Amino acid sequence: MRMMQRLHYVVLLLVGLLLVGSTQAQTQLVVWHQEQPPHRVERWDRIAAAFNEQHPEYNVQLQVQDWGEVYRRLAAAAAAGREPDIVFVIPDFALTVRGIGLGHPVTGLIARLDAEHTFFDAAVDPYWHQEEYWAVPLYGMIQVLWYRKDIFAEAGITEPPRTWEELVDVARQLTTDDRFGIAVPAGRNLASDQVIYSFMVTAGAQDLFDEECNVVFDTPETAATLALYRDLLEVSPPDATSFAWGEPQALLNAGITAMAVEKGQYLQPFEEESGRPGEDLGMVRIPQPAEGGQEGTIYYSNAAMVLTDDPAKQEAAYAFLEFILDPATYGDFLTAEPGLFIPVTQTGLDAEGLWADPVVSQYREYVEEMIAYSEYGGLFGFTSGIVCEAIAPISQQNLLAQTIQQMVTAGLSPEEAASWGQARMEEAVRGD
Amino acid sequence: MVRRLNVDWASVVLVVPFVLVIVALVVWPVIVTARTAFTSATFIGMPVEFVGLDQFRRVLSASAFWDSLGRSGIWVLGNAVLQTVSALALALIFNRFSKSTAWLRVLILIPWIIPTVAVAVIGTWVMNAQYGVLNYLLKQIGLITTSINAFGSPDIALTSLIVLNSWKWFPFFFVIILGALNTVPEDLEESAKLDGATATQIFLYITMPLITRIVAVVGMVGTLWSFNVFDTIYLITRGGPGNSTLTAPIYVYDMAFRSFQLARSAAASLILMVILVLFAVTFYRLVVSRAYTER
Amino acid sequence: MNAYRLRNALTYVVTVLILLFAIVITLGPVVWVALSSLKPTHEIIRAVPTAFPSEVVWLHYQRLFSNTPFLSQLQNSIVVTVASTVLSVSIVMAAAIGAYRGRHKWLRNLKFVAILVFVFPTTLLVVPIYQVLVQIGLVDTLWSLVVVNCMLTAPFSFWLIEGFLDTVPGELEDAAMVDGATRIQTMLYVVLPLASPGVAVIAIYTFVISWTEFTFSSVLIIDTNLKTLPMGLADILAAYNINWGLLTSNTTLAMVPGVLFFALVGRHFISGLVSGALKA
Repeated sequence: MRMMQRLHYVVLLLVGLLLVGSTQAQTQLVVWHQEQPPHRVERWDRIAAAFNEQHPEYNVQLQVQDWGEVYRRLAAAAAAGREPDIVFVIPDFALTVRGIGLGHPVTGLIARLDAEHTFFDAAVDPYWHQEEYWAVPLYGMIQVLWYRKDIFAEAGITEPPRTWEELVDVARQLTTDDRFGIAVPAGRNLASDQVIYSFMVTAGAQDLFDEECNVVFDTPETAATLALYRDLLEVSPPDATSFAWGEPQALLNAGITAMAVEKGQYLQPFEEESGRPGEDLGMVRIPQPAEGGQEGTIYYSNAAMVLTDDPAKQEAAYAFLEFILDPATYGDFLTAEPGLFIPVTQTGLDAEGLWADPVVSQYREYVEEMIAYSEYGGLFGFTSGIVCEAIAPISQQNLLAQTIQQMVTAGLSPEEAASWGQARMEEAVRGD
Repeated sequence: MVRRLNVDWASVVLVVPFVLVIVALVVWPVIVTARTAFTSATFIGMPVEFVGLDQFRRVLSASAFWDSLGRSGIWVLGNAVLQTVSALALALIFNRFSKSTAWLRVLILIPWIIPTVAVAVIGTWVMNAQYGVLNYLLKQIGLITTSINAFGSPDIALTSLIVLNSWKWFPFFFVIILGALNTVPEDLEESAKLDGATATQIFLYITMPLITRIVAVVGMVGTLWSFNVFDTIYLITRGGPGNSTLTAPIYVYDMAFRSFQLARSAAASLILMVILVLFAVTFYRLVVSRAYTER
Repeated sequence: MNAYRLRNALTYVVTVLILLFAIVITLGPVVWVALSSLKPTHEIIRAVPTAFPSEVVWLHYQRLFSNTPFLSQLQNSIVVTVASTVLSVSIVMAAAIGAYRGRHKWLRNLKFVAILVFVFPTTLLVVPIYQVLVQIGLVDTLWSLVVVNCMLTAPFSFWLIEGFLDTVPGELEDAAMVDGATRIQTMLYVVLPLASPGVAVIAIYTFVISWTEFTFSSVLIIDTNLKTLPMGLADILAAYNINWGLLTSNTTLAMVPGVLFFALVGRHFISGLVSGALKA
C-alpha cells in the first residue's frame, strides 16, 4: 500500500518534470487582451488552444486585463521587466505603449496580411505613424442607437429617431414616472468619451486636432453636441453621472430606459436579460443634426502590438496573428461577442464562422448594417489625417467625459464647457 | 577599565524580522518617495532629472490638491463620527443583554470580514438609483418620493460612500467599545441607581469616564484608517461624479497612474504624510494621552 | 410601581426593536445579495423587485465555475491568507517576546514605532512599495502579497499583543527557569500558551485583513493566474456589461469562507479583542 503511494508520487513527479521540460522547449508567448466578460475570455482561450495544438512548437497563453487599468498595468509591468509579448490595443493606447518605450513595427507583416486578406483603411490607418505600422488590426467596433420596439409601440411611436431633434423629442415622450427615454453615460470613463464622440462626429466636430496637432476642441459644433448631451441627460436616469458601458445596457434590458447608444454587445444577452423576444430590440444609425449633419459614429480599430524583443517570439507572434485573421478561425474569433467584433478585412466578411453563429444569424440584418456603417466611423484624435501623440494623455484622463461632467456638476453652459475642455486638453498636452 | 556590554542577543534577534518588514515596506518606500519627489519622473523606470522643489511647488499651488485634501477632511470626520457614534450607541444597547448575545455580536461583525470589493458590489447593488432595493423600500414606507441618487449625484456621493464605509467598519469598533463597557463594574452602576442617579447621570459620570480612553483610541485609529480607504471609493465612483469624491489618496493614485506624473504624485504623498503624522501626534497628545492620565 | 414596570417593559421593547434594526442594517444587504444571486437573469433587475426568487436557479453559480477562473482565484486567496497569517503571527510573536519579555526595556519602545506605522497612510505607499518589490524581485508573485499583508497587520498586532503578554506573570517564567527549562522552552511551553487568546486575536485579525485586501493586490499582481478573489470580483465589476447574476453569485461566494471561518472562531476573536484592547 505504502509502496504504491510512493510510486504514485514518483510518477507524478516525473510527469511534472516532463511537462516543465517540454514547455521549456516551446516558444512561450504571453498575450494580454482586455475583453473581460467570461464568455469572450473562454472563446479566445479556445482559439489559443487550437493554435497551440496546430503549432506544437509554440505555446500561447492569453491573459485578460481591465481597460480601465491596463494603461498603468502595462507601464508597471514594463518597469518590472514583465511586459507581455503581445498586447491588444486601441489607437490611443498604442501611442501610450510606444511612449513607455515598448512595441516593434509590423509593417512587413501588415503588407503580407494585406495582400492575403485586404485590410480596410479605417482599421489600419490609425496605426500608421513615423512611416511604419505599429499594430495589426484584429477587429472593429462601432456604436449605434439601440431601442426597445415594444416600449416604442406602447407609447405609439412607430419610427425610430433619425435626427437629433427627433431623438430628444422621442426621449422626452418616452420619459414617465418609472421610465427614462434614454440612458447616456456621463461617468468619468471611456464609455462616456465614446458616446459623446459619436454625436460629435454627426455634428462635424470629429477633429480634436488641426493638421499641426493643435487642440481645436472649442468649436460651435462641439458646443452644439454638448447641448444635445445635456438635453439627453435630462431624460436619462439621474445617476447617469456614474454610468459606464454596463448600466445603460442593464437598464435597456430591464425596460427602465427605452434607448441607449452603444456597440454590438447588446445582441447576445438581450433575450435572456429582458425576457422578451429578439424582435423587440431595435437598432438604427446615430441620429444627426437635421441641419448640417453628417453620417457618422465612433469606430474603433482594435489591434495587436508586438512587444517582445526576442526574434523567436516575434515569429511566434506573427504566426498567432496570422492564425487569427485566417478566415477558418476568424469567424470564431469575432463571434466571441457576436455583433460587437466586426471584421477588419475583406476576407473576414465571408468568414464562415461569423455568419454561422446563432446570434449573428438571428440579427444578421443588424450585423450587416453595422459593417456597412463602419465606413462612416472615426475615432477621436485620429481624424485629421496624421496621428497626434497628444491624444494619449487626453484619452487617459477622459477629458471628453470630464467636459460633460462640468455641465452636470459645475453647471457650465455647453459653450463654457467646450472652452473648459479645450483648456484642459491643452494642459494635458503640455503635461501640466 | 573594560565594560562588558550586556546585550540580550536573543531578544534583539527575535525583533529583527519585525523591524525588517517595517524597514523594507514602510521606511524604504518613504525614502523612495522622497527621492522621486525631487525629480521629473513620469513613470517607474522612465529617465529622470533632478528638479529640486519644483514638484512641491506645483502640488501646493494646485487647487485640485487642496480640494482633495478638504474632501479627505470631510471623509475622515464623517466616518469617524458615524462609526464611533453608531458603534458606541449599539454597544450601549448590547451591553444590557451581555449574556445572551454572543452569537449576535459575531453576526454584527460580518460586514467587517467581507472583502471591500464585495462591499462595493453590495453598495452599488442595494443603493442603486434605478433598481436598488433600498430606494424601493424607502419609497414603500413613504420616507422618500423620488429615488436617492446615491453615487450619481455630486451632492451626496461622498455622503453615500461615508455611509457605506461606516457600514463596513463600525462593527469592528463596536466590538472594542463593547469590551470596554464590559469592564465597567456592574455593582458601581447598581449602587448609583440605588442612590437615585438617573440613567443619563450614570452614563455621564460613571460609564463614560471609564470608557473614554478606548473611545479616544478608537476615534484616532478609526480616523487615520479611514483616511487610508481607497478601494471602496475607487471601485464605486473613481472620484466622480465631477470630482465630488476625489479624496487625497485618489488624487495621489490618479496622479501616478492616470496622468503619469510619478514625481508629482510622490511630492503630494510626502506632503500628506507630514500632515497626517502631525495630526496623529497632536491627537495623541491632546486626546489619547489625556484620557490615559485621567483614568 | 405599575408605571415603573410599564416603563421598564417599554424600554425593553424599544431596545429589542433597535437591536433588530441594527441586525437588518448589517445583515440585510448581505442577505439581499445572496437572494439576488439565485434569481433567473430577467428577474434580478426589476423596477418592483421580488423578495424571494420566483424559482431558485443555480445558473449564475454554474457560469461562475465554468466560465470564470473563480476556483483558481479562491485557491490564490487561500494560499495568500494562510501564508500571511502564519508569517505575520510568527514575526509578531517573536518580536513581542523579544521586546516585551526580554531584558532590554528600551526594546519596548518599538511599540511606539508600531503605533506610528499602523496609523501611517499606507495607501500613499502603493507606488513606492511596487518600486521596492521590483528591486527585490518579489513583484508579481503571491509572496509580494504575503509580505505586504504582514506590513499591514504586524504593527497593530504587535501593539495588541502587549496586553496579553503582560498578563503572564514574570514569576512563572522565573520558576520555570529555576526548574532548569531553557529560555526557549519557557517561552514555548509557559508564556505562549498563557497568551494564546491574544495569539488567536491577532491571527484572526491578520486573516480578515489578508482575505479582504485589494488595493495592493491590484497593483502588485500582473499575471492573471495569480489574481485573488477580490481582484476577480473587481474584474467582473469593471467589465463592459454589468452581469448582476455573476456579480451577486461571486460576491456571495467571496463572503462564504470568511463567514464560515468567523462562525467558528469569531467568539474567541471578540472576547480576546475585548480584553486585549483594554490593556493596551
